[in-house]
Amino acid sequence: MSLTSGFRWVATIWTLFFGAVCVGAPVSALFSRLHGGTLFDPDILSLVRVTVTQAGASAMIAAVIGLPLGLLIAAGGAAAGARSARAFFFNEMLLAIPFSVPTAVAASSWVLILGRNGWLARLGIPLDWSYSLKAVITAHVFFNAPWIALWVAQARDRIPEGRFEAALTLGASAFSRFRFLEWPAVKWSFFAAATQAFSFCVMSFALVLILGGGPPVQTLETAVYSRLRFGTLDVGGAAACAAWELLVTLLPWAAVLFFQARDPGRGARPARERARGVGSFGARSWLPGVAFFAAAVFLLPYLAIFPASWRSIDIVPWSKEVLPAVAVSVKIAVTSAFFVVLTALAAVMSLSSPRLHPAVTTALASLASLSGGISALVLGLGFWLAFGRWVDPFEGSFAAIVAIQLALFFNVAFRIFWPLAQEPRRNLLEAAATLGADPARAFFEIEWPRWRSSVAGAFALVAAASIGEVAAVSLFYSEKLVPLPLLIVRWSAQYRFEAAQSASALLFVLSSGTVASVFISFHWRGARD
Amino acid sequence: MRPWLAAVLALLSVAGWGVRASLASPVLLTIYAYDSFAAPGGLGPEIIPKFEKKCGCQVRLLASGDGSQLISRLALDAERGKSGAQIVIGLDGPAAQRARGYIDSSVGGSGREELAPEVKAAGLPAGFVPYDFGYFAFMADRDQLKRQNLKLPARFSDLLRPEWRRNLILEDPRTSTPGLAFALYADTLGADWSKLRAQWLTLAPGWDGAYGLFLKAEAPLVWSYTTSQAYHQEHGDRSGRYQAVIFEEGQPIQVEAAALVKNSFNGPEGARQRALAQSFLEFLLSKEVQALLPTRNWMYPARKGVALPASFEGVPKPARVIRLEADPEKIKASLNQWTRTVQ
Repeated sequence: MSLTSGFRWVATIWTLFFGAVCVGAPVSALFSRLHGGTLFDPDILSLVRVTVTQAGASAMIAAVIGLPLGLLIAAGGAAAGARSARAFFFNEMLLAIPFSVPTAVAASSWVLILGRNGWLARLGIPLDWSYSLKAVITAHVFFNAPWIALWVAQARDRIPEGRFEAALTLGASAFSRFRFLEWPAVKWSFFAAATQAFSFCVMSFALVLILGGGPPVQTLETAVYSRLRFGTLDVGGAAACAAWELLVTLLPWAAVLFFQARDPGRGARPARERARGVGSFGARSWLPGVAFFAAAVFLLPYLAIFPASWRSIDIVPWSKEVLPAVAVSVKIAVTSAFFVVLTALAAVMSLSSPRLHPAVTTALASLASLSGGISALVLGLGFWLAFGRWVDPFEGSFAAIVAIQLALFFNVAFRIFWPLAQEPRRNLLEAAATLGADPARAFFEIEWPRWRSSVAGAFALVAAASIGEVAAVSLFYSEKLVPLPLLIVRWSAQYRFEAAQSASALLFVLSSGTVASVFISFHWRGARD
Repeated sequence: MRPWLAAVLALLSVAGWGVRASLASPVLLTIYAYDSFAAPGGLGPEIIPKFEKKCGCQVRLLASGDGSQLISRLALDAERGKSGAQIVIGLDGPAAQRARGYIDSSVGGSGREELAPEVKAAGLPAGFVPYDFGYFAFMADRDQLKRQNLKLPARFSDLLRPEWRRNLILEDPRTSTPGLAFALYADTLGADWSKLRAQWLTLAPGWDGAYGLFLKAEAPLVWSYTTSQAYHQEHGDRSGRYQAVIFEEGQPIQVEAAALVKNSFNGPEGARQRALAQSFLEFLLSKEVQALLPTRNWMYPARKGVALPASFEGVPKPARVIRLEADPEKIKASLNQWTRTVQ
């Protein structure tokens, strides 16, 4: 057995272990309580309709904004000449940060802006959107449009300069450059990101609960919450909602992967290099500035939390309560991010085996997206039902928190790595082998340079999202395992709202700082290299 | 010394150490508590060390969100046939009715001499020891009322007037104890939900979310407790900006209780654990603990004759106390009706 196939076996075993323990067992335990009658309960079917409408509208608006925004960001980087790399990196960072914004921070910020006593109201803008479906959709769009734009910008950035020059020489119009050069290069990244945005919106629950204002604005996820949280413990009803949620999120993934596999142009992805072509936006000097402001707009709402937090900064017990909670949050985030990246790499490695039939690869890649359609609440209860006999999660379980976050965020890292695995530099690897390089050295010399920024990016995104995640930790915390988001919830329950607001601002700084620091360190490294 | 003899002696000394260790180790008592009880600054961290000193035992608090989540925890424990705690603390009347099946009913009761009359009349099921109580009520922000030129409502029915449209912050009855209390209170007073639904600005998932919005001045009224007024006065509200609103129809009462968990006293230390758990319930009703309740839980002590802080003096008491429906089946039917009306 060669070293590569040995690694692939280990990767496959690890992936199967993850799938069985973190997804398979909890989901099976929960779905064993599912009754056919509950599945087609009219109340639940009506929730399916509302969920699909809300998530569909949110994802569609985010996609309509995200596609041109991504092209604009890439064009801004391309038009900046010598400053292109810096401008592009900075805008990428701005687009990545909203993904990491904790939902508690987002909800609080939107109340400060859209609320009846919010900034807009005080400015005399009578936009009575708070506590309605409009508020939920607005918040979702601000979360997801930058996410879609980030994927589109990265895909657009891979188009070689020569293609644009050739198109310009031939007199291609802006629309033609978009249609024949940009769209084929970005479409699958765009569809994948839009599908992921749809999944995020289906499973969004804190934003819907806080900004939606209650019934009739409720979704499958909030129904799971009320069925599990309030004493009646309606496991069957929760399982039915979870089953629909899984179906609703998985179907678009399956469709994207199915059509992508049938697209003859999907394999023709050039190696990543900086694009300098002008694309559909043309070569205009104002593009970098506009691109920067367009990317920054999506961060602005969350800055609303700072003025309100500043006033109460002196009443926060920083050293006694906050620092220990920050330490717990960082520990959970780093461990979760490490295992998410490791598991996603293992899954990508095992699925890119040349022995697998393309149809099987597509089916397995769809299956790998399964965890992206299950909420933390569902996984948490399933985990309890599956493993409660052997471990007592009520005593606090670090492992359970990490396992649930692993399942929650696996899909994000997998979606980042999967396109890279589709385009290995086989010729170079074979040449290195012919020249006598061992497989490990060949990998680190040839493959690793194009993987490392994606690995670091995925690590940063997952760590940042984990820092703000509250559903998994609220199920398995203990007095020795209280992370920052939970401390904020606790303070609110003790009338300590001002201190909670300040701690929320710190949470935002921590999560966005994680993304920013990784982006900055890689930019410096890239500049040094 | 022969090697086998050394091994036997070593084994015996290890076994002897183990026996001594088990004799010396204090009995462990585990309590399921609502989160704000167990969190730093809550009642738990203040009273548990005192009880440990008294009993020579070790007490562990396992926090679990709010009172309603405690029932989920008990249900899941019953399902796996293994209880994780001997005591549960923080169940109110309707929650106590739902949790009855998981509770050891041989102790407790609300008919004790030292209890306040309101608590005695609460009619908690057997097995529950009440330790505090409070009245649900709207809290008003007088600054906002002045800005909107509104007067405090005198009756529940006043809330249906057009000026209160989108001026109330409530909690979702499906996910919050105060929210459920409001729904049952409205049902008791025969409120028309189809009219009432236009009056609330939002249904927050829990009390903390609702109260946070109220403090951000999103609406002039929030459904909370009369004792929230004492909290504000204790924390510098000299102008009386935040005021509890008492309706002519009366206010619903909430009595919180603790109980022993059924089938949780197993193993060789079961009898000792049970005795200690019972003494913890007694300890909750001691004057020492009851005196702490007003400024830790912001509730009235269940025991009569306990001195209240000055901030409680101005808190209005309802002329009429309304006891809410506690039958789980009737509550379920009521919630189903509510859901159909407001959706």
